[in-house]
Amino acid sequence: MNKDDNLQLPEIDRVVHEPARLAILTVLSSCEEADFLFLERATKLSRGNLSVQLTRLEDADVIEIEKTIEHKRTLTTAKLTARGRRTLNAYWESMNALQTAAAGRSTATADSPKRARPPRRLVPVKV
Amino acid sequence: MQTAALSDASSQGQELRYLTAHFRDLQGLRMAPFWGALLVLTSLAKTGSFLRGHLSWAAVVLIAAQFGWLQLSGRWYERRYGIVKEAEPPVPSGLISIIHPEEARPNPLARRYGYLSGVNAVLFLLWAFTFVPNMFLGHRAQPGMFALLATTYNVLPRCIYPVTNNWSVFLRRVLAATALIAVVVIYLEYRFVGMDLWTWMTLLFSFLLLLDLYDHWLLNHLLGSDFTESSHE
Repeated sequence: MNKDDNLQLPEIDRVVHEPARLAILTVLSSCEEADFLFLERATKLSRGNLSVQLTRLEDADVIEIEKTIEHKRTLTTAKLTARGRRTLNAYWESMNALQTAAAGRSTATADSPKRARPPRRLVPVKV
Repeated sequence: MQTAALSDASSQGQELRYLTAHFRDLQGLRMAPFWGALLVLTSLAKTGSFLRGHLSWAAVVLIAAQFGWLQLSGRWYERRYGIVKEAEPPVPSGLISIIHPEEARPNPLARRYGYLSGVNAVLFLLWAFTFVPNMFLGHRAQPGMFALLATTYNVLPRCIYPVTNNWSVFLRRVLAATALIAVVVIYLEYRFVGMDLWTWMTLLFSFLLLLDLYDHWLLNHLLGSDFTESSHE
């Protein structure tokens, strides 16, 4: 076994790591709160998918959803909770650590003399 | 490969963050009709159909009407693209507990756009009154100077935001910076070479109109132009 395979990789939060949920959280981290329509358009998710992902995030206590009636319409708004903000920050820290680890590993692999490609030998050709 | 996937996610994240943070700034149709109307006014003044005094009163009426349009266009954007409430700047908690109860804390950013629109209106009112010789600053008034100030106030913020990897977002900054340089160069030409006042104004409002139309296009582009439904969930 290569020494590099024992590399300690940081744990990734699966709730945040899913791309659709990560997109929702990225939008919410840049504002106080956003409504369903903006999230739908910004993340380009279908209504059904967005609704499911929002429920999952709410169940994980990462976001807070509020429904109000405005101009005879239901307005659904979502905002990050304090725990959600901490979770997202921790996620980005672990992703950065992972990126650093991945970059270090690829550099080590490239520099390793065992894995390096042997130089091509010139074979004399008999005519 | 992992690194490439991470940086790709990061660039998408940058785009989403930019879009959310500048959602209101990109609503170009809030101001575009105003620039269009001013462009028509100055073009008419150039042909000689308008007296200077008439132009100033027409501009005052336009500024008043613009406040009504800001409300209407704001609602249209909300219904079509949704609502984003901007993040409040951090306020020291001690200050809140001593001076204000937390519930009654004012939201400074909720008033930010009202304040910006107010400053804009004041600048354009000053500009409009410079056309009336006996009313404001007399014969020393310089409409070209006030127009330059108002334009700089509108264009400069577009030149100083963090750039993302998205070409269309970067192009917004390039266009704004180019327009700002062009405006200053044209103003110098107007002041020292002898360019016609109305040509200078027409160019100015054309730049502002084009920048706001680009902003609206950019918002539509970033939020997915193929979207057809527009109702709240």
